[in-house]
Amino acid sequence: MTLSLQKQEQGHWERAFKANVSEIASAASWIESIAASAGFADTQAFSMQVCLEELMSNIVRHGKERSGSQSSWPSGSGHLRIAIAIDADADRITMTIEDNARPFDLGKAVAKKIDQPLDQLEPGGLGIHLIKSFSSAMEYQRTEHGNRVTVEFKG
Amino acid sequence: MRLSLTPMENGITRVSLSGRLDVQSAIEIDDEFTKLANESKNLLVDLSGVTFIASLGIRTLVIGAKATATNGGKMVLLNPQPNVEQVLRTSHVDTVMPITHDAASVAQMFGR
Repeated sequence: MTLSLQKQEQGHWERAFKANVSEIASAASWIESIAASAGFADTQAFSMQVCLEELMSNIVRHGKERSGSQSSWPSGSGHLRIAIAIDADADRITMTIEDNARPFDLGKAVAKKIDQPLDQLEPGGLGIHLIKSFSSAMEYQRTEHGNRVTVEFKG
Repeated sequence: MRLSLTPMENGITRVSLSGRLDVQSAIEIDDEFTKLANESKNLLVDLSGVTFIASLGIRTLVIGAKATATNGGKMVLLNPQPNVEQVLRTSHVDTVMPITHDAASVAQMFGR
């Protein structure tokens, strides 16, 4: 797998990105073009955008590369990387996001929402709540190289 | 992401945002928006041109709302698009700053 890989089969797309803020916008444009060409419903396409943004943002802002991971995944350059795969069939769309960061179980993270008055409210930290709210299912797996999060969107 | 100011009467500052309020844009506008909120008492944020909002964009709005409250005023969100409004209400943003589609009632919401 190389960074420039953009593979497309029937109902399957995958691509790798560097873990930086500008790449989040690149990934969002890529997902948008897939949604348009595959004819995803507007609500599904928007939900995918929400989850993509929050999942990539978590990796870019909080992810730390695993020590000793330089040799392999996905391009061998020793930097934090993100690989995204989209699979669509008649009933659902799944988006799988893999990284080579240190293990972080998103499924066990606190899904914070605004539940305090403004003067006591600590800004930020709403991403996990949005991911869980805008997907129909979320699954976390620890992998050999880092983390894999799969989110599902039903039609 | 564009940020533009429109003078209003009655001590209300109106700022219009347009484009994607995603991670990158939130980082870009954070300082300018926070400075504006720090200098405002009553801040009307027109979201009609915003097509997407991420949690970091919500964070920017919350920081602004806290600043206006500290100044003895409030921040009101005007005309978010349906998808953006769904993100805001899912996060319960509407519990700490009003969301309205009725521009005519804005002055009243600010107690003017």
